[in-house]
Amino acid sequence: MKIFRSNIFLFCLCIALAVQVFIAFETPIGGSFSDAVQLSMNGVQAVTPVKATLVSVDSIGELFKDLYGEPGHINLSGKSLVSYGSFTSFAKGDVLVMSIAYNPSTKAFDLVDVIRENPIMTFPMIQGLGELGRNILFHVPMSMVAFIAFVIGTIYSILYLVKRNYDYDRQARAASAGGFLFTLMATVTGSIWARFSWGTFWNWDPREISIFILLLVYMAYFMLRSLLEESEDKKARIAAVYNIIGMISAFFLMFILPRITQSLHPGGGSLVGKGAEAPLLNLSGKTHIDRTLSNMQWISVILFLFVFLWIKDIYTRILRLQDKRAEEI
Amino acid sequence: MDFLEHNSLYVVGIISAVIWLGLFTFMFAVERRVRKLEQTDTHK
Repeated sequence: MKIFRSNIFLFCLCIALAVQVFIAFETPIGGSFSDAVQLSMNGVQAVTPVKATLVSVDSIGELFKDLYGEPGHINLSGKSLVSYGSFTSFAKGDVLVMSIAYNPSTKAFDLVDVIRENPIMTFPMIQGLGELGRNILFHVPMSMVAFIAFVIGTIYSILYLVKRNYDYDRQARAASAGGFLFTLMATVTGSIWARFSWGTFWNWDPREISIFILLLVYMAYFMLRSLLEESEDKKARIAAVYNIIGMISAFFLMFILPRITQSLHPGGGSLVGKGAEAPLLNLSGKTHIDRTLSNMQWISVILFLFVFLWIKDIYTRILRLQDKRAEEI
Repeated sequence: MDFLEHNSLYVVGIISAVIWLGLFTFMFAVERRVRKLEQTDTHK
């Protein structure tokens, strides 16, 4: 694709990814008052970030309403919110992201810190994940791009079988290699996430097993394509057929298996009605994910998709050069 | 260590940005080499 030979486009892509990383880590996380109560009562988190709107001031303290419209009093312990920290100009109607601690004796909240005033956007508080929830913007889009890459690779393999044009074989290899790279990146980001959420880097969870098998399936594809001692056409044909079978197994391993088995991942066992529904792709067709987070996720998918297409383009050109050199020799 | 503990979120963010930047630098380098090779091939 010629667009990837434009330095301006690549520079813009680089800047867009830097902005994506900035937004992913800079956007504050704001939950609700019920999150703060639940996490405090369960002893999970004493201090919780909450997003709320300043409604009024009464005898108990400042009255806020959280993102679900639930009211909550914040006890300032004699401190004036108007002059709190570096934030000096609060008015009624202001949206604040604050760290608060629930006080069961007064059934009010103590203000610990003001994080942001009138934020452009906030990410939801996902109980049990907290700040780790930001990884949704890296791990999930990488997995999605990996699957799209495998689909593209399969389309090129089918095209090769139909038209017998070697360039389709090169494109299929390059797309599958890109898909493999993104699967690897999704595995690494998922593994780091697992370490801090579940305690270990690898749990042999059904989804982890399926991704491990998927990596083996595509490793076998690359070995098959390079190690066969047949004519170029036969090698390409066998690899194309294998790639189509690989795609079918990728679909099964990425979408079916993790949903019919009980898993630590969200959506585990949802097809048999034993677990929670998958947040994005499920049988009821509903999205169980915050709109802001979901939008940012799709933006990340598009950006990562461009990175994949760039990698695929370069690898295809390298394969073309290699083949040309081999023909000359 | 105290700095890392209190700013862990930003440290992770910077590491992610550096990894992306590293990948892009590498890709740019490969892109330039491939472009040179393609040009040499066309002039042959």
